[in-house]
Amino acid sequence: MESRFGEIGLIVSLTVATLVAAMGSLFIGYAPLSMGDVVSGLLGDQGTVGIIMRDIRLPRMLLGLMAGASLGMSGAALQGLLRNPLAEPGVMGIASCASLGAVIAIYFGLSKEFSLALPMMAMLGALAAAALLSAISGRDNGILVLILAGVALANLAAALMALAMNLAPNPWAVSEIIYWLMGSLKDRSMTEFYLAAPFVGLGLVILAFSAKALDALTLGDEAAASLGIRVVAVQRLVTLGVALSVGASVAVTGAIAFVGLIVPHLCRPFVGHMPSRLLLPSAIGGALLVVVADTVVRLVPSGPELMLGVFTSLIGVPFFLWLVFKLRREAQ
Amino acid sequence: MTALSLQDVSVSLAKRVVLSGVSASFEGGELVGVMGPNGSGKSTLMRAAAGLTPRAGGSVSIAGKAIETWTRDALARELAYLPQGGQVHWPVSVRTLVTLGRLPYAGRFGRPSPADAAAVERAMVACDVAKLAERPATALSGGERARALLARAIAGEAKILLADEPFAQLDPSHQLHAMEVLQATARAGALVVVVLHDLSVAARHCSRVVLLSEGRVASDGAPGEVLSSENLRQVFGIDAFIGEHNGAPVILPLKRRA
Repeated sequence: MESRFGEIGLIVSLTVATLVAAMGSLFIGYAPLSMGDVVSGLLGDQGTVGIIMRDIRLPRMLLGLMAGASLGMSGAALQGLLRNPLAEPGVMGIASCASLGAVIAIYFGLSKEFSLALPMMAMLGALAAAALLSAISGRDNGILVLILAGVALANLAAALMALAMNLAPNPWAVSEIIYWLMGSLKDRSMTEFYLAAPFVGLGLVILAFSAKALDALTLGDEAAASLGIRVVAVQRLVTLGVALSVGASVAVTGAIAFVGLIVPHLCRPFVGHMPSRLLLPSAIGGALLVVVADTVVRLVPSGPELMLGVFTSLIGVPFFLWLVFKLRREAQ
Repeated sequence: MTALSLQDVSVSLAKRVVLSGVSASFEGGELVGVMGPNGSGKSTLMRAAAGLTPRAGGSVSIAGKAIETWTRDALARELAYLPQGGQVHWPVSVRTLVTLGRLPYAGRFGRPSPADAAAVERAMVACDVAKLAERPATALSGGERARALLARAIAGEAKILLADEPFAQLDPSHQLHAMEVLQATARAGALVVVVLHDLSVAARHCSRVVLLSEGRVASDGAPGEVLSSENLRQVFGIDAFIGEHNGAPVILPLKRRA
């Protein structure tokens, strides 16, 4: 059930699959490019092909990997922290507050004045959410308080976003907000990738360092504390790690739902339920899922491109329902 | 040397005084039963001794050093604590569960070493869960899970073991078995403090009994002295038969006093 072979095998196969998918995604797009074009474009072609490869497809692929890894690992860490298989970054309100930050940037026209204002405001929103969650959960180390605070934050953010759309000065602002909220990797640049990458990296490192503590929490807060774990510190650390990695990803890509929920569940049959064993496979699996999903939306012959966030929700919701039914069956 | 010492320990929870002025010292090798009516402060005493609950007053020292001066990892290696009604939140195998008891020895991403694996194996054999090693801990019966959790607590091979009602769900045979495990742990030199309700088991197996009543120590000493009919009447409000079978004590609660 929890063999080392399963773990190493899963990590290796996921890594190979992710590399293949990432390479493959470079070949797929609206401009038909040959294999030679793709390679020369990446290696410094100065013409249109170079622009398509280096300014469109490469950042899109890198952002997909980054966002997927953040969402996957954050989902695994949050499920471990909250000891709830239905937890994901959206539950804590962190993703919503990042979206709210972005909506504020759009609403007040900050993003027009200064293009990086949007991702920066989104990250600020995520960090504010993390600070608020830490303050609310405070010294009371009850997990229920943290979940309820997260739900409250998510609803507050949703209400404020609705208010912004309600009061929006013109229909363009509304459509821009809606467009952004649907989540996509389209039309992003390397600048945005460079902006988000350090925060994502830092967040993922923080989450990786909480692995041992998350395992101990399997025994409940008190037993974990007696094993030398600072339970409140772990809550804060994981919240911060999620805020940094998911906040920075959402800041660039918009809301991509359900990746953090689905991926850890797909990894469990191979590595078991220990949170520490799930973190790395979930990060790689998340990257794979997002890159593949983003390739699929480019292949679907719809009029306007299917938005990535819409697509992941469409596959995520049935999965979520299936999971709820499965958990209910197990509980009986 | 004194393994665990409580000096004038008081604890208040939600503005209610739960423990007041509890003092006691324990040596390695003792098997101490903590007894008392529901709400008399037994679990709070255990948590205070493990440093898991803030004290309103008094001090706790472990191996002669104030508990606050211990680093968390060193304390976790010195003292193991098994909470009441232990939880298992994920369907991990019993072996994985017991291995969690070795966490104080692991590095930050620590994989279990051969020494850890050996200690886990010993603990599983001692608690009779080796046969269940690959079963998911959440699919066990209550008694099996209780034994797996006891194995988790002794896997760390700490010098102090605090176990809060580890027998609550065990059948008579496994209750005796678990008590033998605790006795063997104490004989190996560790201090074992266990909260329990069975008067006969305490009288027969413990080397010492601490009787709590309303947050205070009502009596502390050899089981034969502490579990007297006078103390049972005053603290529990019961009349009990106190007898002997083959030279070992038997205590049977008979009726409640009005």
